[in-house]
Amino acid sequence: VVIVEIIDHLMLGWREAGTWQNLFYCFLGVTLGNLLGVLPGVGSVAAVSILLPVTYHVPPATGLIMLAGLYYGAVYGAVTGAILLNIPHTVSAIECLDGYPMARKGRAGVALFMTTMASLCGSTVGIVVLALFAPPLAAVALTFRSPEYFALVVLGMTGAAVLARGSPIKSFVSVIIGMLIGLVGIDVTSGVARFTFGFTNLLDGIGIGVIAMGLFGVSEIMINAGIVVSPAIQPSSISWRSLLPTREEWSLSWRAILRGTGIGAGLGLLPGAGPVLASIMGYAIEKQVAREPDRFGHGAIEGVVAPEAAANAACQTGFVPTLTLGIPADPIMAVMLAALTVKGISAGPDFINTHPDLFWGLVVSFIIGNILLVIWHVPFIGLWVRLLTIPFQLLFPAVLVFMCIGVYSIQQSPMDVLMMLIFGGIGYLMRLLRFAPAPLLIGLVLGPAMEQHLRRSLIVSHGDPMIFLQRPVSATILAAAAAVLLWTLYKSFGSAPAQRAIENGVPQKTGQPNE
Amino acid sequence: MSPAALRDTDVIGGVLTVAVAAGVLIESSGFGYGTVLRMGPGYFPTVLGILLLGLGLALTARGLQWQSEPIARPQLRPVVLIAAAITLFALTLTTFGLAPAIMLLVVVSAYASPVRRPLVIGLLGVGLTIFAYVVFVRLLSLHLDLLRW
Repeated sequence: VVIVEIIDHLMLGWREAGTWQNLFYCFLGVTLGNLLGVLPGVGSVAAVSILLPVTYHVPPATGLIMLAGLYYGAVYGAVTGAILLNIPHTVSAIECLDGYPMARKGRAGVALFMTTMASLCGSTVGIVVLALFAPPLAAVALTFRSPEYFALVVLGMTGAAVLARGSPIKSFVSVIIGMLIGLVGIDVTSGVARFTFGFTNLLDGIGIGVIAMGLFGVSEIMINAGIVVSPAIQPSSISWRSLLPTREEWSLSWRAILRGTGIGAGLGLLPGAGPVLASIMGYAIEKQVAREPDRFGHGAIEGVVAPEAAANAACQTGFVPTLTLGIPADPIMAVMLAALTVKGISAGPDFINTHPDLFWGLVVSFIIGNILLVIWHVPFIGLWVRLLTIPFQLLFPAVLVFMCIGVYSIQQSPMDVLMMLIFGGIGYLMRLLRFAPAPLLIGLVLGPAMEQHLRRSLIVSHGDPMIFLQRPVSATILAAAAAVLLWTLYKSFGSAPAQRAIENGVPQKTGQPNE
Repeated sequence: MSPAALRDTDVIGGVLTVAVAAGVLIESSGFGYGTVLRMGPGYFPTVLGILLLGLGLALTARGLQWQSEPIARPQLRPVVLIAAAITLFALTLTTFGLAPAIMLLVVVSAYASPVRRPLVIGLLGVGLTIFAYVVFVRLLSLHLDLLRW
């Protein structure tokens, strides 16, 4: 019975995802995502934001399929740059540690091929988990009322803060500043204009696309523009034969891939975790279980494939909390939620019931997208390798052009372009001061929701804050948030050097592991 | 206070956080707090402001006690040039049209890089102008003139 039901759902999804328009946008999304993932200096958050304006012109399913394709496409693509050029993209930074040494030993082809296999495995399991877990979770969440949602937002906010890279205190500051930015504009309940400082164009609030492109795109370019990146690879060195792993490499890899997949699929379900954390955990665990941990940092294949599998699995399962609870798993999910909201669709427990075509269409588009990505990465890998030889000094002005026109096109407002620049400056300052910008974007989405649910809960309880502890589900969720918080405190006092090692987990330019 | 503390990322970040929190608290005091039963528009931002104040003070104290790491020297040249390029784009786009705005954006921002070849940059600008015109104006029908005076 369950199998029939699943086939029914997949058929429904295929009717949505299989239209020519949606197939085209899925292809466009994964290809552009892959492209922007491969190219240095453009993070995937910026990539998704650049394409955000396009979603205003197409139906919701099409827009969502494209943005999602960009998202996991960028994860696939990012590892190429990490292995060949030691470029630490946020999501693939950890793969530099062993991927680049592998490339220097002449095993770049194998590393690229095996990470594609790892991505495929991680994504496939992630998609299955999404299809199996999202509907029952949504059914449970249907009973949730404002106190439960308030508790969930608190958990999501705590998760975003403690799981982000860097100091948890600083990440909490980022989340709260994001929440405050989310409040800018007219308060729907009272009609009072908050934090607009007399600017009429702030009355509607600040768009998440403007903020994301500024914080992630502009500031990234400000940091990297002054650095010369000289591509030092020969595209011809990646031949068909060089892709094939030896028997030993294969036997080392497959267990690592499975472990990474499991870790990623589990972590992705947590609000606030996301693929970056999954890849770091995947690496850490491989190093723990390895017979010869000393090989790590010198081109251990497990250290490349496990994080990649974990990142891709987390990418897919991250859609579970995002779509069923409305709690974004990472900043890119926050941008996607905003894109849905613009279309008048709110993610939450009702989402799968009221928009089954959208949900199952998305699931089927993931399957199609992953097949496309494998095709891009196995027969056409040489193309992407050649792309890496484009000098960065030609790339970043082009990216700036797309960001500026993209931001302008949202509301045809030059003010938005300047606003993006302001957020670029804020992002640059945050990076200088070691504040993670990702939690800010999650706070931006969660802030208004938190205020609304707090207000409603307190009206229901006649002003008694104990309502959050009297309802079992909200009390449990809040207890989980408190536990996460206490664990973080304990950890930061327990082992300061280890903590610092994780905080500085981004590999250095030389490719030396810093542990 | 030692000069090292003044350059510490925790101390600077903490002091800035406290300043933002103070601004938030002052600004939200004018919104009306309301009561717990009927939260006014100032209630929630004030709660956030107090949390932010606490975090900022904790961060400052941590930085003064255990120095974390000194702030990196900002690279002024790329930051200033990229900021100028984006500002010029925003100012020229609607008054002079797409072509001059993109050319200015590309040329000014390209000089942020240590590798600068005027001819290549010029060609890149022309190419991007044509591409942007075809994609955004023709295909996505964004209302922009190529050139206007």
